[in-house]
Amino acid sequence: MPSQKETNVELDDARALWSAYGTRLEAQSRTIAQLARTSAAAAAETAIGRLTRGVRIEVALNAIVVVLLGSFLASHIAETSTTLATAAVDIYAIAILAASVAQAVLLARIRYDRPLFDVAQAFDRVRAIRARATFWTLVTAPLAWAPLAVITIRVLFGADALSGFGGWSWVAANAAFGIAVLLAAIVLARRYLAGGGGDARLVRMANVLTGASFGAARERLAALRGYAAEEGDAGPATVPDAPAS
Amino acid sequence: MALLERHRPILYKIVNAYAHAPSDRDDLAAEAVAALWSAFPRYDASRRFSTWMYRVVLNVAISFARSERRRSERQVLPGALAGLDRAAAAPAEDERVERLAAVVADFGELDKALVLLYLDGEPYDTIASIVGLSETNVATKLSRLKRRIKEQLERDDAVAEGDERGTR
Repeated sequence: MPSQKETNVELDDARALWSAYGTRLEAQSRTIAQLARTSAAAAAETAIGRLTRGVRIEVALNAIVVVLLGSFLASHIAETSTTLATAAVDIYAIAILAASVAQAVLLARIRYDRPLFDVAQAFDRVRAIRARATFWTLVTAPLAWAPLAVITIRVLFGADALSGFGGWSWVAANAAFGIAVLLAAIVLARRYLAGGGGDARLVRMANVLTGASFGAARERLAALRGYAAEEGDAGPATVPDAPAS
Repeated sequence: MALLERHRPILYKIVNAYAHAPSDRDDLAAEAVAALWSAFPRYDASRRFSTWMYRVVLNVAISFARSERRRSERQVLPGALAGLDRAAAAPAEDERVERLAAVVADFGELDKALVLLYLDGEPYDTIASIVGLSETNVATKLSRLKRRIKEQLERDDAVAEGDERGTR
């Protein structure tokens, strides 16, 4: 075991060590040309690139849903119950579309050649919007069951579900059932899944449902703002080091 | 391509600092090269190439490290020098780099970027422009981080000395 004198890394030495480490890495690593070939062959994509692609697909799908619902609404405008149900679901779909468009716009502004802090903050903003949108989509989904059922039954069987199933009491019963299922899911998520072990997808869903994901995204944003704000608590700025060669 | 090749150590030092599993290192290096390639048309040749490259590669590395997919995998740390031919350097030097990298590995993503840039000898104004903070803030943070590194290394030394005495 080396003595303290031998192993004590003074920070000036650390730079020399680090430089030697870089030289060794360079000598033993693949060239950029080799890496570029690998990256092209594997169709390498950055984390933001993957997220951007996913969000664009969401925008396209949501836009299709909104257009289809709008068209359905226009063609059934004379039927009160179908119109009300379709308008409710369309508003729901437009809200989801707006959230995905907001994410797509923010992501499109992110450039990797911008300062690290700006990129981290923009990325966290997207994550916060995403977490909030997913939370509200899940929470309000049970309320959309009944109008969605009205539309589905109208499309598949040409029947008016509201008059067939007992009118607004049927809608109210469905909404009550949806809320009960939602509350049970939140309780289960809090008790058994959120933040803990188990299937990663279930845990993620539980964290979204309990609001933990949104809370974490907001905390990360606040921490970033704090990171940029703290200044001058370690005395005056030190003299800049010698420029790199 | 020649510019990138000349600044290759930047890529590898960052890749090794932010990704620890060999497969993650390969993925991150490929992602970084893809990002450099697609961002290159926006590079302003009147500015230092290394500053631009640091920004791109560090941004890719930070996004990579933060992606939830890899969070659990990052817990496995085979060491900064995994995969490196150790015969090329003295064991004591290897140990010191390994210890330094281990201390830096515990830092947050932005702190890690500050330390890497400092260790690479970048001046504070360049570090500030890469990270996007004021020069004063960079100086404050680096002062604190350097103290943390020194204290941690001294603690490690004390533990090592204690172990040495115990085995005698």
